[in-house]
Amino acid sequence: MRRINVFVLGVVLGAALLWVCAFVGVLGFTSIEGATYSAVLLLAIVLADMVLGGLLARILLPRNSDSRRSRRKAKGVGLFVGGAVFVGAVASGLLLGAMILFDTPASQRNLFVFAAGPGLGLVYGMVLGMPAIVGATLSEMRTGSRRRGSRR
Amino acid sequence: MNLFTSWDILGVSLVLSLRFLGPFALGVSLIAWSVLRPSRAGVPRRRSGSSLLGVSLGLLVCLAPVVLFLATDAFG
Repeated sequence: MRRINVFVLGVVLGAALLWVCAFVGVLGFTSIEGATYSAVLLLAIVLADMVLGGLLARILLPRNSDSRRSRRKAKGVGLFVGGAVFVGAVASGLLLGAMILFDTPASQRNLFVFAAGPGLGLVYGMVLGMPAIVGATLSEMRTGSRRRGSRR
Repeated sequence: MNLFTSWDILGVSLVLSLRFLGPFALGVSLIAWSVLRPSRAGVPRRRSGSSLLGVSLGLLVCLAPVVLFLATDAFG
């Protein structure tokens, strides 16, 4: 049950971050100051993505349990969290693609209109998934090394 | 202009955000991995050249789009 909850939270995180990036990017159109502000906000988004990935992994990692089963469960948590963020961003990209498609008159629809949303979703899934995977894997590795240290 | 109905503008802004977001994601991930990675069990922890290389590469990747943006603004 905890796994499903973390997956849903990861998907929501990925979807929300894509839309936040879209609106932060609009700031860049306004002026030089706006572009600088938007770059700083994008850096903050990446940091938040990594921290939240680590926190999501913490929820999944078993506490104070040394059994073989819990150790097996703890493996691959980083990829699981990153995959959830990836799925969220791809879903948002598909929604954006559908909206762009509906917004374009039928006579003007070409390959770019069809590919824009899914393409952006895939790219953002990779870009937003990478810091989440790193944060979650670091959290997983640190928990594992702490457990090994306490066993010694 | 209603931002919520102009979906193509959101798409363009996402493409332009990638110019900063991609290098930032790679650079921050590199720095975090190099600095926060725990040592292997049994091996004493020491700051090796590889972690320093990771941090400097990460900083370079993070700063590259900012420097390019400022340079195109100044000379372009």
